[in-house]
Amino acid sequence: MERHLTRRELLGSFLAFGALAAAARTNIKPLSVTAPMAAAKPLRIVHLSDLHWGYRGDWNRRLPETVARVFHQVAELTPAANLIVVTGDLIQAADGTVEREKRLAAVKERLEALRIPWLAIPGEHDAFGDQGALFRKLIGPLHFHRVFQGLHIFGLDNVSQGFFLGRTQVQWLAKEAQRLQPSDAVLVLSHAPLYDLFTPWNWYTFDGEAVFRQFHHLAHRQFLFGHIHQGLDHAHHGVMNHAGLPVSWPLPEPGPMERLAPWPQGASHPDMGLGFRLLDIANGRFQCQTLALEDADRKAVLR
Amino acid sequence: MGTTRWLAVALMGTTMAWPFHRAPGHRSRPSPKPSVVQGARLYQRACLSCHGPRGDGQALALLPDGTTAPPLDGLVGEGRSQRRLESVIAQGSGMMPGWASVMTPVQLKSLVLYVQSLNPSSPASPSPQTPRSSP
Ligand code: HEC
Repeated sequence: MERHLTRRELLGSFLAFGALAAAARTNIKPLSVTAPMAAAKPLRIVHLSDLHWGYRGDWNRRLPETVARVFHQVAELTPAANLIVVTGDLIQAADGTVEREKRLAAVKERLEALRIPWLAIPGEHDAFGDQGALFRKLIGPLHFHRVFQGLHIFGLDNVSQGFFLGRTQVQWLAKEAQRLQPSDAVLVLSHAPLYDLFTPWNWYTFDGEAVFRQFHHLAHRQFLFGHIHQGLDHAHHGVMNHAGLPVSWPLPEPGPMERLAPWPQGASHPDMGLGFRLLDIANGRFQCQTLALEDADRKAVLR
Repeated sequence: MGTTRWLAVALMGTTMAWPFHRAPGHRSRPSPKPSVVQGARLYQRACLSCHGPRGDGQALALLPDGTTAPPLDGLVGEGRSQRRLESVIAQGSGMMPGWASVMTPVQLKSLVLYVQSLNPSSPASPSPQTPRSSP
């Protein structure tokens, strides 16, 4: 009997090889920092990603409705969320400043309506055509360092110039990171993954290793990203990297050397793969959960 | 049915057989001078997604507006000067990233060497008796 490799096994072997190669390429040693977490208060953070507001087509035939349902779930969370972070692609790229401005404003209005503090970084769709100028004007800086209830949040821009941070941003990051204590809790947001997840589909950051290096001296770090339209958790240099669930449409698992493309939204399960994620910080630990839009008994998952 | 398996073998094969990977345990050092091999290695990581594994524009990732990046094979034949290639790779243009903000001058020169080395494929002539060999 012939045994076929599943896509997951294929992915596993490919990624394992990639991880091996990556480990060999870098000189970041395994982490041995132990320090109790400085951020003492429990925090609940909603991780939204890839809304692609303005998209019309087969991949999601009722996008405004999907967005509304996800936002409703976020509003209904118990305990309530303290903060929302959005890891890029708030809108679908469009030609013309007027249309892009309309889309960004629409997403901003919906986020504001939740009355929960929120932070967002750009995806390549948000920065399309003007290298992030409009995003900066309407949403906020492309990269930033904010302290929210003791948690250090770094928003990074690995899309506006290309899938990299660039020397200027890395230098800024190095300066900011130097000021952190080993016990400081750090959350890093980026659109594309900061490690080589699958370079043939631009699922990587050319100089992403720099971020792992800069935060190497810290005991409590967690990286959130989007872009790949599927929930995925991966440890790289001892740091957990969590991909957010898409609000818009799912994408295939990485692996096949073919052109990346979504598929038409399912007839019987239109919400497949959609939703958002939750990051709870309590008792000095991070805990990440997935909230699929498809789950009927969602509330039970939460408690 | 066996496609996935075939793909797995082909994929692992290409990964292992790619001549520009360093053996595990060998850290890559920045090359002191530009080389086409360094260019090929950089191309695989940073350019292949948009311009295609063979540089022929068969992109594996689409641009946000649903279009693809242009082919790069045969640019020399089309009269693109070295200076023009250097400038577009370093500074970018439209949706083409400007790589100077993340790569060294040596890396950029290596990429120019590699792009200049790309030849367009000749039209394929498969025969029914001899199936086309795998890559
Ligand atoms: C995000 C997708 C993307 C990536 C990644 C990318 N390019 Fe491009 N590239 C483009 C686009 C789009 C154009 C066309 C630009 C224009 O229309 O002005 C282009 C144009 C070019 C050109 C000019 C072609 C001509 O006809 O003169 C060269 C040379 C080039 N790219 C080389 C590279 C190299 C080398 C890399 C890797 C270091 C790279 N590109 C990575 C999208 C990309």
